[in-house]
Amino acid sequence: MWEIVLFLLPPFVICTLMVFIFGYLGIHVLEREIIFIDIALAQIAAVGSTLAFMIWGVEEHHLLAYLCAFALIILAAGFYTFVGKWIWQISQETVIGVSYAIAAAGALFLLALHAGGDVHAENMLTGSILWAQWSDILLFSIVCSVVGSLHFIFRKRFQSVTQTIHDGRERDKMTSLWDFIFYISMGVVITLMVRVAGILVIFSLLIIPATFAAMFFRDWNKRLIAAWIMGIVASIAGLAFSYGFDFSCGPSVVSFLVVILIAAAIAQKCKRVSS
Amino acid sequence: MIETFKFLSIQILLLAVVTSVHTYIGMHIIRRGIVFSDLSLDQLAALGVIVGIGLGVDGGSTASYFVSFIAVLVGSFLLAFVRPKNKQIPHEAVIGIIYGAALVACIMVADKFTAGMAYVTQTLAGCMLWVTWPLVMTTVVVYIILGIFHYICRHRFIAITEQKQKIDHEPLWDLLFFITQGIITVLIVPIAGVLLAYAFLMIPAAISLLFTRQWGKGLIMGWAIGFIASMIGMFASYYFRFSYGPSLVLSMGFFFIAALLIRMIRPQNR
Repeated sequence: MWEIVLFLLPPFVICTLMVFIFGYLGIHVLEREIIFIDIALAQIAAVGSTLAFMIWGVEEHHLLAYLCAFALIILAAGFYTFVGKWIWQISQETVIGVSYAIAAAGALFLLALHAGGDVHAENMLTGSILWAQWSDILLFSIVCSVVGSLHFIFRKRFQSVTQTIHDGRERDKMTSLWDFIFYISMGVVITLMVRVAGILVIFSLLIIPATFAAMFFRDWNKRLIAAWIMGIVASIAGLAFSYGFDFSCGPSVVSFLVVILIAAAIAQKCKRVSS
Repeated sequence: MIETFKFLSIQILLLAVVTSVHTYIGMHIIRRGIVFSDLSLDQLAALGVIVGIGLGVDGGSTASYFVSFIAVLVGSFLLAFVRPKNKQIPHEAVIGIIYGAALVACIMVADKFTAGMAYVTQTLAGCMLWVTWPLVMTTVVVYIILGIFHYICRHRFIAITEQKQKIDHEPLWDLLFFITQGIITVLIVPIAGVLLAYAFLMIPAAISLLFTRQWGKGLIMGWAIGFIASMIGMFASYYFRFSYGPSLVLSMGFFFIAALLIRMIRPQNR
């Protein structure tokens, strides 16, 4: 029993760190209605590390791969900020959607030039949480603490920028700057985590716990706690299922997030009908 | 030489038809603000293909299309009827969760059979280079029928999209809209892949909306740009042996970035 617990401890700690940081960022993403921002950023980061592999032959955990991914994330953050300020004819979500398709096609295009592209494509989507190292956990803890502290210290500023995004007014320079910092901070976390967690897991942890919380609470603090609890429960169940039935870790955690959300939606609907 | 001509003519015909209907549906999707609904349906169609393969059905066969259609039909019902009343949860969140669930289901099903992940990659990137005349003719005929249906009922669909007036039986028309979107999805995903199918729908429509809000003008503009961009991608893929779907998406992507830059350099008043 202890052996299993010890084996599953690193992936559980990684999931918990992701639940904490993405549970919070997810509330912003839901309010801003930019649901697919993280999938686009994660995909752009994956293009960066693939490029580093193509040019220098370095693996995803090499510093050059991180730097390449981060450089593309900064470009993307600047691009979204500019587009948000200058382009009003189509929604921000449309631009994000198209950039996701371009980035995903770019990654597949590059991977197709190399043998074994399927394996890389799978890893890019689902990650390899099960094989997370304690060194990864240390690095993620530091980055999550820094990004989390930044968002905690300036929480009122970030909240106000998010809540005024749909009021139709033109974004001034300061608001655009806070938008840029928001995208960059999210990009840093995603760049680091996408190698281990994969695009799909990050996307699900960002959207599903935040949606679950929004079903029951309006207050940001309550939503945050509900999102965290839901995410951690789904992670434990998903990891146990993955171990017991020999399924990939990432997709198993995502499946439990979906199952809990559907169960909560049905329960809420039944409660509404009966009352 | 003749073989090359035949091969390229089949592609050109298919691209011309596909970009027209996809641009029109894409204009509705972007205006409705449900940008990722198509990606969800595309992924459900891909799930149908993979489940079919898991059940021993060949990809591209009638049975495979049938399984895909069932998956897409379920998706169309979910898109039309699952609309959160809670204002804190945008419709796009539901769409995103459907997409995530469909993708994870693809991976979990593929996890359990040999070379399963290669099929998942194939459903993402597509294998349009191997399309046949019967498949193209079926696609063209169905697209023309759907195009005529949308032309006849355009006032109703446009009224729902623009939200300027209430029309009778709106949920039913909404469902019909998503079902037509689902049918084109089922036809295009097995050959073009999820990403290219999504790009056909989004990119030409997004480019046209950057310059005009008029439906007719936008459709012609989006179709022309989408067709030219996909032709460039197709020829690049053919002559340089690049991956087919990604080449076309990247070519359309260049046109989209160029359109954004033009709009930024020459801004328009709100």
